Amino acid sequence: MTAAGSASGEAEFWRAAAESLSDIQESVGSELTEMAVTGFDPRPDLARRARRWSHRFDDHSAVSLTAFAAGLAEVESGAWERDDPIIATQALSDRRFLFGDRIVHWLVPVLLAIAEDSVAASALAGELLDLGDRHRPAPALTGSEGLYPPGHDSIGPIVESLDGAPLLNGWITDRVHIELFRQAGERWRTCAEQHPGTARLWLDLAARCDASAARVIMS
Amino acid sequence: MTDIPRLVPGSELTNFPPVERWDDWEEYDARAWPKKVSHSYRLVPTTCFNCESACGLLAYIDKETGEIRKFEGNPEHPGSRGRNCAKGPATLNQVYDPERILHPLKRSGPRGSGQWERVSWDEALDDIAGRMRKAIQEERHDEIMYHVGRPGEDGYVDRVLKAWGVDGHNSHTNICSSGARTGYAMWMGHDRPSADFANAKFILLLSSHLETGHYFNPHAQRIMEAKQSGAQLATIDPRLSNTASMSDVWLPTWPGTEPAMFLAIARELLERDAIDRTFIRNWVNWRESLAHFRPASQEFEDFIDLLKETYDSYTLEWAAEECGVPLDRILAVVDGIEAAGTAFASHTWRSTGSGNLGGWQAARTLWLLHVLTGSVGTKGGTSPSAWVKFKPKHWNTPPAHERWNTLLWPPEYPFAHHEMSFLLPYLVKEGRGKVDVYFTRVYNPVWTNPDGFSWLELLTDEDAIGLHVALTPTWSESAQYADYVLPMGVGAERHDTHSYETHSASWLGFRQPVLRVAGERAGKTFDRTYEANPGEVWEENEFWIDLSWRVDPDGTLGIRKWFESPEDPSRPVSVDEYYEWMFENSVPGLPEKAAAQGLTPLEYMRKYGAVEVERDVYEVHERSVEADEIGPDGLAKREGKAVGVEVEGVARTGFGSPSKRLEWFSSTMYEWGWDTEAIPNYLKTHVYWRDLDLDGDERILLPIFRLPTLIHTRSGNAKYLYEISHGHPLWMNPTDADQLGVETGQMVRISTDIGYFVMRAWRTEGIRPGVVAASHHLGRWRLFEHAGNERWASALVEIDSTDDGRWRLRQKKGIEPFESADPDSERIWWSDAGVHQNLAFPPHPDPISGMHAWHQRVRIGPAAAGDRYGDVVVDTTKSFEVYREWLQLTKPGPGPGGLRRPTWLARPNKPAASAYVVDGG
Repeated sequence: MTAAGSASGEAEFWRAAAESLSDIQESVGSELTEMAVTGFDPRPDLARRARRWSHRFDDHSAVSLTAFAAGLAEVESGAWERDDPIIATQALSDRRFLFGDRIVHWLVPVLLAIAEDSVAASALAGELLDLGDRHRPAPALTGSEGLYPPGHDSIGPIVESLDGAPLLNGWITDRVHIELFRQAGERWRTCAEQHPGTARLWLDLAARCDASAARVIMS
Repeated sequence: MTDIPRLVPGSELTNFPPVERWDDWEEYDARAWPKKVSHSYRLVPTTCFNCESACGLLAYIDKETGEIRKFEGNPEHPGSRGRNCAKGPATLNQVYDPERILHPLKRSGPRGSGQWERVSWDEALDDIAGRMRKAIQEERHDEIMYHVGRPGEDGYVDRVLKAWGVDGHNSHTNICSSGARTGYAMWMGHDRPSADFANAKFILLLSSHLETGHYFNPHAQRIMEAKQSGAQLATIDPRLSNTASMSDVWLPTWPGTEPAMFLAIARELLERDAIDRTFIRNWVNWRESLAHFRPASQEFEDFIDLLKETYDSYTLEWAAEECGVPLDRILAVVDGIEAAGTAFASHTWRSTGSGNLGGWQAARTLWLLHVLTGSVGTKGGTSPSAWVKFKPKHWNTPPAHERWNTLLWPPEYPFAHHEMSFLLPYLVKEGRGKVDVYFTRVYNPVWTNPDGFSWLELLTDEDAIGLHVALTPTWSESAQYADYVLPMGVGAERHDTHSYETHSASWLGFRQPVLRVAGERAGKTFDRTYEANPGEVWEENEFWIDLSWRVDPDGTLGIRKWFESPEDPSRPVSVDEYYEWMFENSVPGLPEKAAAQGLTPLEYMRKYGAVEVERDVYEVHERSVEADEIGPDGLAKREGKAVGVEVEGVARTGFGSPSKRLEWFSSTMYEWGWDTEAIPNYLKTHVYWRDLDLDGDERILLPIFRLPTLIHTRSGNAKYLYEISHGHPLWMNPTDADQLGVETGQMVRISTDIGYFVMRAWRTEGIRPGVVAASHHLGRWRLFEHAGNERWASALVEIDSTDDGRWRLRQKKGIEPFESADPDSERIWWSDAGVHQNLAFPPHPDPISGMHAWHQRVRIGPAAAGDRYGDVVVDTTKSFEVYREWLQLTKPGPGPGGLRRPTWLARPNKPAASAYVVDGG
C-alpha cells in the first residue's frame, strides 16, 4: 500500500468513528468529552493544534476530535499524492499526537464502560486500541521514564484522581469495592499486554486501581 | 452525517523560504513578540558539521547586524530535504559560544599545565612549518602525522599528504566503523551499505537509525516513509532504543551473537527455497567457492547444497537459544525477508560490529541475506555505498607517495580497514617509532579512545610527541595537552564538499563559510575566510594551503607547486580557484544545471549548497562496460586492468572485489591464513554470554550508544544540546538490579580489566538482562577552571598518578552557572557532567578488522566506601598487558608476494604499489 493509500484508509476509519460516536452520544444522552471524564480542560490545547490547520473547534466532543483526525488524515493522503512530504508528515505527526494526547486515554475507557450496552462502543474501542498499536503513542517502557512531573502519570495528577476517581467511576459506578478495583486493574493489565502501542496508559490505570484498592483497605 | 473539516495548512506550515527570495527574506523577530518587528535576512546554505550525516543547513544572516540569527534546514539538499535534528540548529551556539577559542594559543608552561599565551597565526604557521621542513629534509617523513576525528572532505587532506610525500593519515575509523566495513568489504570491496529505505517492504536495522547514527536524519525520514507505505521494521539491539520502540519486531540479542541469527535465517531461507537463484548464479563467486570446498563439483546446484551443508547446524531453535531471543521474533524476520523479496533493506554500521571481537562478521553474515534474496542494488533493497556516494576529483592531485608508516599500518594487522590509530601509545611504548609533528584535527583521543590515560602519557611525553598541534573549533580534553591550539571553523565557517549514501541517489553538498558568502553577496571582498569569521578563526583548507607554502617557500622540496594558484603561481591557490575547478570539471551535470540559470558551477553551489548528481541509482553492477579482453576467470579487462566481469555474455561493472563478484568464499582471507573466517561465519565474541559469571556480579557492558542530541566532543560548546542531555546512567534490567542489590540512582562501581569507574544506576526493562549500558556521549572534564573544556558540558577534575602507571580521575565539582558574555551561562540548572567511562577500557584490537571491540566484560557492585561519583581509576601497565594479549591473536604479514596488505583493500592516502611490498619488493 502507498503512503497516500494508508493515510486515506485511516481517514475512512476516522470518518466512521465520528459517525459512530455521534450515534453513541445520542444514545447516552450527553457529549463525550475529556473534561467530563478526567477533569482536564483541553480547549486551549486543541485550539493550538487546530490553528495551524486554519480550523476552529465548535466544541471539544469526541465527535469533533475524530472528525478533525479524519481531516488530518485526508490532508496527509493528499499531500503524499502531490509529493509534499512536509505537509504529509506534519499532518501525520499532528494526528498521532492528537490521538495519543487528547483521544485514546479517556475515550477508550469510556467506550469500554458502556460496551455492555453498546456493540458500537465495544467495536470502536477495539479499533482505537488497534490503531494505537500502529501509531504507538504510549508504548510501555520502564514505568519510570520520568515523562511526567512527580505525582502525575499519563492520565493526570494521581492523588487528585484517586480522591475523585472520576475516571474509575466509569468502571465501578457506585460499587466501590476492593475486588472490583483489583479486577479492573487486571483488565487494564491484560489490555496493556494485548495493546503494546498504548500500554503505558493502561498500566497507569492499573496502577491507579491498585492504589485505589489499597486506599479502600487503609480506610 | 458528521462534517469532516476541510483543513488547510495555515501560515505556520508554509514551506521553506523560496530560493529566489533567499537574498531578501523578511521575518518577524520571535523575541519581540507580541510586537511585530520585522527583520531582513540573507539566507546562505551550508552543511552541518555536527554528525557525519552532512545535512543541509540554511543560515539566516541579519542584514542589519551582520550576525547569524538562526540555522534551519536547507530544502534544496537532496539528502536531508530541509529537515534537521537538534544538532543542526545548535550550530548557532557553536558560532557564538562565549568560551570559544578565537585566537591561536601556544602553551607557555609544561604540557597540560593550563598555561597559554596568545600568538599570531604567522608565528604559529612558521614554527610548525619549520619543524616539518626539517623532518622532510631529513627523510623523517613518518614522523609527521595527521589524526582526524570528523573528516572534512574526502580526499582533501590525502592530496595535501601526497604533496608532502607523507604516509601520515590517521583516522578515528578503528574506534568507529572498521568492523562493519570489513564485513562488507570482504564480500564486494565496497565497505558500506546504502539501503533504499523509502521503497523497502522489510527493514532490518542493527542500529538506532530513527534517532542516531550514520546518516540517521536522512535515513529516518525515509524509513518512516516506508512504514507509512506498509513496510515492516525490525530492530536488533540489546537496548529498547527509540528506534526499537517504533519497530514491529524488537530482537534484544546477546551482544555478539547476531551472526548466529543471520546464519539461521539464511539456513531457513535456503530450506524454504526463498532465494534468488538467478542473482546468485550470476553474481556470487560460486565457482571459486566450489573449487575450494568441493573441487569435484562444478554445478551451480552443488553450491546451493554447499551452503545448506555449511549452515545446517544453524537451526532457528538453536539461534533463539544462542541469541536469547524468542523464536517467534526470529521467525517474524524470516517471514518479513521472504515476503519482501528484493525489497529488503538493512543497515549496520557500528553497534555489534564495533563492540565485539569478530564483530565484522555481523555485516558479512547480514549481507549474506541480501545475496540469497537478490536484494542487492534493487529498488527497496540495499546497494554498496560507493554507487551513490559521489567523490569529485580534486584539482591538481600529486602522485601517490611511496612510503609505508608502520606506526599506522603495523604488520600484525594487514587487513585492518583503517589505521591502527588507537594503538599509537602502545606502539610508541614498544619503541616502534615516534612522532615529531602531530596534528589532531577535531580529534580528542584522550577522551574518545579507549584507555585515555595511556594517551595522556603519550601526549605529555615530549620525546614521543615532539609537537602537538590541535586544530579544533572547541576545547577538548586532548587539546589541554597540546603545544598549539589553533581555532578552526565550525560547519558554517569553512569550505568542503560532502556526499553520503542517504538513499538511491547521489548528491554533492557544499559546506561554505556563511558570513563570508553573505558578505560577498553584499559586495565585500575577502582574501581569506578568517577575515569574515569571528576572531581569528581559520578554515582548514586555507590552513593546509598556507602551511604547505611555508614548508616549502622556495619550491625546492617539490611541495609548493601543488599549492600555487593556476592564475598566478607566485601566490597560493584560493578556495574559489580550487572549487571552481572541481565543480566545472568533475561533477556531471552541474555545469549544465548552472548554465541553465546563468550561473557558473561555483555560483550554483554557493546559491543552493548542494546538487543532485544522479537519481534512481539501482543495479549498477549490471551496467555494461567496455573491455578489450575477457580473462579465463571471466574478468573483463581494459588495458590490462580489471574493469568488470562477464555475465551472460556481457562485460558488466560488477563489484569492487578481486573477482568483481560477491565473494562468499574470500580467497584473499584464506591465502593470508584466515581459514574459518574466509566465509560468512559465526565467531565467538570476547564478551560471549555463556562465559560470564551471570549468577555472580559479571555482566556485559555496552558503552557505545549515542544520545540523539549530542555528538562526541564537538557538541560540548552547544548550550541547547547540553540543556537537553546531561545524564547517562547505567541502564540495568530490574532482574540484574535485584540480583546485584542496586536501586535507581544508586552509585555503582563498574570494574573492567584495567580499573573501574563509578556512576549511577538506572533500573529499566528497556535492556535485556545480563547486559548493562551507558552512552559514551557524556563524561567531559577539564583540568582548569577557565580553560581546557567547555563549562556548559564539563566537570572540573583533578588527576593523580603514581610512577607505576596507576591513575585516578576525580571530579572536584560538576557543571555550574558561570559569568560570561552570554547571560544563559548564569542560568545553567544542570550539574551532572557524566562519567568518562572510556578511560577504563583496555584496547581490544580485532585481529582482522583492526576495530577496537568496545564491549566490556565487567563486574558490578555497589560503590565502595570512599568512592565518589565520576571516579575513574586505571592501571595503564595492565592496559599494555591487554594490548599484548590481543596482539597474540593476530597473523602478521607479509602475505603472499611479500605484501604488507592485500592491494585491493581500500586504504586512505593509498601509496604506490611498490610501498605494499616489504623492503620495496
